[in-house]
Amino acid sequence: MAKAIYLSAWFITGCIASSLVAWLGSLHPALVQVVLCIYLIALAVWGMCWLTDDAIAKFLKVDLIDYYAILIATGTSAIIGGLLCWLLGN
Amino acid sequence: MLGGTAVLCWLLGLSPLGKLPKGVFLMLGFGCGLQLIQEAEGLIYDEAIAKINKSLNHGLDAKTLALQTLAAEQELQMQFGGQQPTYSQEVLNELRESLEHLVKEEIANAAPDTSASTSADRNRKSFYLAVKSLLEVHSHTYIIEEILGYRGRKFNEGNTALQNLLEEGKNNGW
Repeated sequence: MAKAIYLSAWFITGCIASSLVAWLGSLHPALVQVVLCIYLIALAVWGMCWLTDDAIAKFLKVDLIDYYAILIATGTSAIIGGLLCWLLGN
Repeated sequence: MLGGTAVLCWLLGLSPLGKLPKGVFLMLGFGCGLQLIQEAEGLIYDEAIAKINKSLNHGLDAKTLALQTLAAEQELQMQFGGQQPTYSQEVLNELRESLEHLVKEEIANAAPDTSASTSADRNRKSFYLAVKSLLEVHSHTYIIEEILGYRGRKFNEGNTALQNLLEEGKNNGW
């Protein structure tokens, strides 16, 4: 029960962070590029995590399955945060 | 509750309020989210401690129950099981002595049979004893005619055989 609350807390925080980044983009037209850069870098890091899953999972001492779950959840939260921000209008 | 405020702030931050309020709400929501993470960690720790306590208490309860039942059993045994036997000590001794005598007698009776006699002798002896016991019920004539089988003219032979048998038994002390 507490574990579920813990995981959902991380997810919500991830969504809010993504929304924050997207909001940054809405402040000034020039910042759009900055935000896009941020998202691209995040996407690249996320992809690298998939490629180097063995090493990072061993380093963090989690099971592979849990590691994949973490990656997918992070990606989903970023997408949801950014997407919602974009859909609901800057 | 904290989770609720975090989600609310997030949604408010997404709604078209105006740039600054949106930003404010989003940052508030972010702070709420971080706080939520900290609280959840504490909750996990508390739950783990509670689980450990529960299992320890359970083990302790099981052990106390076992000890109590053991003590109750011992008390009951002392009350009901520690009685004197129904026979007195002299009677017990007499019984034990008579039993020993019987056993020795049995051994003594068995020993001559197995050591000194052949099977023919044993058969003869048991035959003699059977005839002797029959003599208590039937007459000589019956025994000679039916058991030994000397009928009619052979009656005298049978009579002699019977007398020989009886003599043999008496001489041997059967």
